[in-house]
Amino acid sequence: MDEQKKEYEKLKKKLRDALVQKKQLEAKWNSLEQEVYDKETEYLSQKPSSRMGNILLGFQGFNKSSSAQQILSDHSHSSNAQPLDDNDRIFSLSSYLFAKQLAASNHQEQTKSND
Amino acid sequence: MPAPAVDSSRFRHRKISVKQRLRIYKSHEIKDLEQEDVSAISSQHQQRELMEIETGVEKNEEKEEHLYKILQSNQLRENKKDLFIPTPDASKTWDEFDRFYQGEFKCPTSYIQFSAQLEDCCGTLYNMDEEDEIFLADLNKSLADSVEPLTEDEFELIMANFESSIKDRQPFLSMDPESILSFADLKPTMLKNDVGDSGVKKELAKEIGMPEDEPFLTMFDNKRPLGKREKNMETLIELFGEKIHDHWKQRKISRHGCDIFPQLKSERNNDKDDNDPYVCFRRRELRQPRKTRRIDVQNSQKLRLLCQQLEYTKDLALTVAKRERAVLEVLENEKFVFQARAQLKTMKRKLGIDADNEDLYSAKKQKLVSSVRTIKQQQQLLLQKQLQIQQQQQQQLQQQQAAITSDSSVKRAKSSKSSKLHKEDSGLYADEKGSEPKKKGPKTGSNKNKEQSLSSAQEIGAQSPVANVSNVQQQQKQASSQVYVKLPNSKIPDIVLEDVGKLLHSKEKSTRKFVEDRMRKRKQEDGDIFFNLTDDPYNPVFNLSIPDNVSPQDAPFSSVAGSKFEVKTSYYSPNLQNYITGTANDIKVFNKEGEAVENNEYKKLEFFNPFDNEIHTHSREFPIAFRRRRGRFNMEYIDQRKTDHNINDMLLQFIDLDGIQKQELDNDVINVYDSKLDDLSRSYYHWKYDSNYNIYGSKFSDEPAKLNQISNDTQVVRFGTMLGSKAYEQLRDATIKYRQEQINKRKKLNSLQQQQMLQKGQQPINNAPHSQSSSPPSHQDTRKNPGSTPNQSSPPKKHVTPNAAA
Repeated sequence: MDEQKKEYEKLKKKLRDALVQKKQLEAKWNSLEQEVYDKETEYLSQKPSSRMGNILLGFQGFNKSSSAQQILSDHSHSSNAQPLDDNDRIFSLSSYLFAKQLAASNHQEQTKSND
Repeated sequence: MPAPAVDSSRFRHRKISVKQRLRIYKSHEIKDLEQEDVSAISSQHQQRELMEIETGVEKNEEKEEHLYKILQSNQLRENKKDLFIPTPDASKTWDEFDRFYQGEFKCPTSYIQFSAQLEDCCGTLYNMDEEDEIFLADLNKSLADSVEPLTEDEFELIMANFESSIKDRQPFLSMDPESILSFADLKPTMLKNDVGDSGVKKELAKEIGMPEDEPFLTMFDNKRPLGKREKNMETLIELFGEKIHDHWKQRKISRHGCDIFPQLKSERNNDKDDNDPYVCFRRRELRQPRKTRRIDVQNSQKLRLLCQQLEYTKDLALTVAKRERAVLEVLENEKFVFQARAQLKTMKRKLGIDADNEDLYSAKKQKLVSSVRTIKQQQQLLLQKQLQIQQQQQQQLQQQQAAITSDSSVKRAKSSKSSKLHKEDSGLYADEKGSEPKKKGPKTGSNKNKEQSLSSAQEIGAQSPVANVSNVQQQQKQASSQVYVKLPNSKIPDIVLEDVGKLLHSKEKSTRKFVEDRMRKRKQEDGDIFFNLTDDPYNPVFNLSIPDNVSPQDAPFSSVAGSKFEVKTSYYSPNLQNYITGTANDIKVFNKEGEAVENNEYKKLEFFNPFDNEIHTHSREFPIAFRRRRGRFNMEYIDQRKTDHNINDMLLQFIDLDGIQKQELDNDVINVYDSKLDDLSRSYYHWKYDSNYNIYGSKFSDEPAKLNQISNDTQVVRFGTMLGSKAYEQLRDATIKYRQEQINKRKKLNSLQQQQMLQKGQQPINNAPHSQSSSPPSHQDTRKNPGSTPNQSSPPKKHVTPNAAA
């Protein structure tokens, strides 16, 4: 009986540790998602190089001499770029949860606009 | 005689050019030529000549043996059946195919995509040959029992490592193969060297944080058999390096320092050998683009950007991989928790413990919610922060103001309150930043924040104006509505919206137009002959009296006011069905007062049945059918039947065409002036195309009101108004004229009076009545002058009456 009780206590402690660990892991996961999101935002809104091509648009732009000249020469236009399309966030969207969140927020916006 | 003409027919003749000189052969030379022609020497000469003719094949290819033969035979017109360009036989099948290509291929629904290079798939870049096989067998035999034998894959790996290392260290080994480095020298390079993709994989695994003993597998990798682990490069080199190095060195020297594994031969710099058939890729002769410093700079910048891009991409991909790894850990943890709980429960039941339940259940059923703050949310948060900072500042300001007026105790209380608020706020931000990542979505968090700000605003409400709250709300509204783009007025597309009324209106208009057009067409067909008042669908059947000066055909367009037409009688057939079939016999007649009148004249109104062809007759003059019919009000109509059928049939009734033709054909010479046939054919066309109607529409004079595409009604109204305005203008002019004359008259009168006054200065009082009585005759003079209009006669009368009274 005592042995069993000991084992019980041990198991309980293990469970508690696991729960604590769980919280930590989830925090880590969350911060990683945020990191992906932030990096992605930075990457996709990077003006001069992104315009010549990125992982989404392909890198053909680097092959064209004419467009490159323009892009490299004018830095003035870099300020007025079009806003990011959320569907372009392929990295963040590879997470199911983020996709869900995005869909939910879009839905909310729609209902808001309908009001 | 020109030279080419002499050549036999089997040669292609060259074009005779004006610029080219032609040799003239004399008679004694021709004999020789013929002899030459036959002789073998000449044929050789001709062959040389032949090749000069364009074959249409590229010059250097012409010399290819088979093609050359074919071309020659072609020109010599020899038998070319047994001449062909040999091609490899592709008709045979390969017996062993099934041995090497196993498995079933299922065609995927999408395109087959493959982006990996060949080198990515075939493992190490070294393939064993027979010599290596023998060596490996020997090596494995000589090994001690404790050492695991070297597999072929591992051998290839090591060999590849040797090859790449030596390339790194001694790139010009082929100049002096004997100077090859020893194993000890090569070893450090080999250890550092990354052969195949194992090094990359290791690095990637390290970056993601995979445990060391776990293999890093991508989707391109084959699944390794369980239990068998790839040996580490270091241990391999340690174990077999020395021995393999000897073997490798031998082979390398025998290959004169080149790669052991045969490489594709390609052209080296500058040494071009067109005759070497083993050169795989030949360089194309291209003009080198001119290099400028600008282009160099640009290209290097491009490369830098590309590198940057790729690095970013790699970084992102790695972060994603890390995230997935974290997710895996979470799931594993979850699984462990679940199992532990299950165990704990059973144990509790056994031991009969009824406490410590809080760990057994998760507090709530947690829904997995991602809490990534998107840009919009971040913006919102920022806005709210700013708002709160503003509020706090306001608060402080108010407190300071209050502090001036109120006593110190109140002040203390307030400041403590505000600081508490401040603390609460900051704590909330800390929360937002990640202390509770899972429980609430960012939306709820921000809501809470909003509530907080609102409540704090209300708390201050006693001192601060209520407008503050609404201000906050307004700003929040603005923030949320910024999502939508406001278009400037100039950019909103200019579309006139259709409404039902308009649509119906246009529809009715078009139907009206359609009916009108139909009616007009019929009017054209009727021409001058018929005047049909029933044309107007909007009128009932009337019997009108047309004014004398209006001709019936112009009546519908006449601008004479409608009142001049007088409706004498109107007719009405109550049964439309009967009317249409022409059997109506109760026609009601009304006079212009609207009273029913005894109807004994018409039992039947006009009805034209176009299919009734019993009535028509043939005229002698024209081969055309006419029909006479009596219409309404005893009006007589003559209809011409349409001549749509072959007019020749009818013509033949009158004229013996065949006879004429025969007669005409009998004569050899046709007399144009007397020819009956010609005359007939011309008159035939005359009948065919001449008509009483103008096919391009009615004559211009027929529709006087159709000017400028203005409808009849409008024209009438316009004309009427024009008349009216003209009359008005005339009247006005006349009045003005009259008034001026009146004034002139008055002036004259006055001067006359003054003269009289001067003349009869002694008795001015008696003068007045005299002068007045003298005015009437002068009035009558003026009345004749202004002229014709009767209106003008009225004002002078007024003048007359007082005189008469006087």
